[in-house]
Amino acid sequence: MTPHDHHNVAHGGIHPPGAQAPFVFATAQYESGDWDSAPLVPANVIDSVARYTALPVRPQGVIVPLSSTAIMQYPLLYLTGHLPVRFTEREAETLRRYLARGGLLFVDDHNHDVDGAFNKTAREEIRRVAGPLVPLPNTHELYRCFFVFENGPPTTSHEMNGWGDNLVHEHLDAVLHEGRIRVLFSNKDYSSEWSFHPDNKRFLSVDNTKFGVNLVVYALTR
Amino acid sequence: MPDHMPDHMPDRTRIRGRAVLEGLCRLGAVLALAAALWRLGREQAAGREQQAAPLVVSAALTDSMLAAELIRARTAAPSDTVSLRIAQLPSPTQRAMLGTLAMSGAVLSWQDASASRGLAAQVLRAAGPGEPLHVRAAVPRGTATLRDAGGLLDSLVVNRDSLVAWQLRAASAPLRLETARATMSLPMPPRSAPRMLRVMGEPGWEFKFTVAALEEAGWRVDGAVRVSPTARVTLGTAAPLDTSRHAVVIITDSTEVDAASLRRFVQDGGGLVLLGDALRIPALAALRPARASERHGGVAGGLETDQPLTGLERWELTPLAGAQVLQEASGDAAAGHAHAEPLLVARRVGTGRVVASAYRELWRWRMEGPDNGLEAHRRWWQDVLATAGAPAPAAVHAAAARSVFAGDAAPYADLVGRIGAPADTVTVPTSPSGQTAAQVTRSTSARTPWSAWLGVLAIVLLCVEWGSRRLRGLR
Repeated sequence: MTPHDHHNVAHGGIHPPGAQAPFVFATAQYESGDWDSAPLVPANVIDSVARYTALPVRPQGVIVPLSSTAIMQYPLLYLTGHLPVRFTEREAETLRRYLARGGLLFVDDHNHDVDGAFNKTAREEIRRVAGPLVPLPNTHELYRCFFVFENGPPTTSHEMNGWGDNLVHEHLDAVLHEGRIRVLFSNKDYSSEWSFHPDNKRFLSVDNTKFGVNLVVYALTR
Repeated sequence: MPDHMPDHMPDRTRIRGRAVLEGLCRLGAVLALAAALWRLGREQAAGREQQAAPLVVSAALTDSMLAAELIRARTAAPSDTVSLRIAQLPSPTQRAMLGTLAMSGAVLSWQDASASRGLAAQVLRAAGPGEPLHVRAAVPRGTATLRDAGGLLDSLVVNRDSLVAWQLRAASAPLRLETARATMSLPMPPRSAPRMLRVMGEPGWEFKFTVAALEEAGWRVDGAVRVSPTARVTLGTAAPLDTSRHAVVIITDSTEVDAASLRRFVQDGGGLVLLGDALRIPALAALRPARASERHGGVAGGLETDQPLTGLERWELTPLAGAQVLQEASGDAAAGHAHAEPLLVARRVGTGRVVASAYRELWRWRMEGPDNGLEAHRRWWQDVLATAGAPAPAAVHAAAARSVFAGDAAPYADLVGRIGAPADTVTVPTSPSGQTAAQVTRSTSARTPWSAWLGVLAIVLLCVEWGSRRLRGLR
């Protein structure tokens, strides 16, 4: 996957006059760590959004350097990895500006390990850029805005797979600003859970990517 | 003539004639003195009557009665002072009559027996998220002080009878207005349930950031967006659209709408903002203030300049009949628009207002614009809401009472403005044109009375009689 020409997407060149610009799933590319550790996630989330909602969605996602002001065109950003994260000053400044203006950053710990390098370093970086993470109540509207998740974030099959911290994480963490989620932080390893080809959803009794739809719907409406 | 006729005969005739003349002079002097005394008595009586019984303006005096009295007073003595004793503030018609009299050059003098405080004040809550208080008062010359339970809020010194205004974010009852003459307790209107904004649109960044900008500015927002054929995301209560609950409806794009309820809402006084693509909704064609015909791209990189709106896509708007262009962009030949382009157009529909904005995807201003993009985006929305009927409070200002009041809001100030202050505090008011309208004073007439002329006549006659007798050698 390579970075796209964002301007072509953002300024309406591909949608007809009067039509709404489609949602574009954007993955954050940062200089440290392995930002591209879950390349199948975007396609899977895009497939679910198209499958369950009437939202116009671009079939392909984009990859946006975190140091680039191009991230301002994508108010929902997905960031994952296994390795330690250390934002450059430019990345930190751009992300700080992005979040202050209303962007939403979804960070998923691909290690599902609270003692792991990614979790520890990413939390530090989030604190530095956006403030401390706090537990997000499982009654939050994120869990009800499309599909209803009565018990909060859906458990993944990877949380208890013998790797990582081998814990079921009861809730997600977030940085909130005036009631809105600015940063959503997960140790549930949705990056692994959603890493399969969308065609294989037909083999699942319950589609485990539904929470991804809630995330997109929440980002687009709140 | 015979020679023997005595030569003293002509002298006798002359002497007799002089005696008759002297007698007539004495008689004339006596009559003139008598007339002078009679006239003097009448004048004094009239003066006493005028001093003792000014025209009383009270509830019993109807407009026609006052008119008759004023005509009588002016006809009887056109140059005399018209004295009034005002026991109750005159009606608007009566004030107009008195004002007209003063403007005509009559000298009016009045005593204030109305027990009026010389103050008029009104407290209103402005529409807006915080519902700030607007205090407006007509105050006499001097210092006006505003206090609440927490103490002094502000004081102003005014050089003439004026309207003053304050805008208060909050105040604690009791609110008091004080001047040198009076203190007035001002009732504070209760907070109303603040009206909401309804945002309608397709789920997307424009919808999200419009709601965000409005909520960050303090508005309560509700609405619902359809995210699938069977599912909606609801914000707030999403109660039925009604002007008692909602101030303005904002449609962010070409979404599906209930045109009948929107038309009813606007007809009943609600505001409607059509943003960009919303102008292309066929069902709203009868409401829109402008036709959106062609879409223009934004200037590349324009969002990061000091004119970020040039970087946004916009529709070319053609204002329809009855619409008013509120904002337009100057022609830009380089961009292919040699003529000025309307950007914000408004039109009154029923008792409501519909506002059209040419811009598409305003959210980019907030996200991709310069450092002040976030604040500027919020402010832009506040301005648009003001044009749609949810105004931000106006700036505080003080102005002359006469130019502001029609009269009924502050009858005392209106009366003073028309005929001047009561006689106890004599001033010389000016007319709106700046010329002296009436000299308000207790002046007396400068004309020499008839009694004096008659007295002079008596003296002259007596002098003639005395001179005549002395010339005859008599004493």
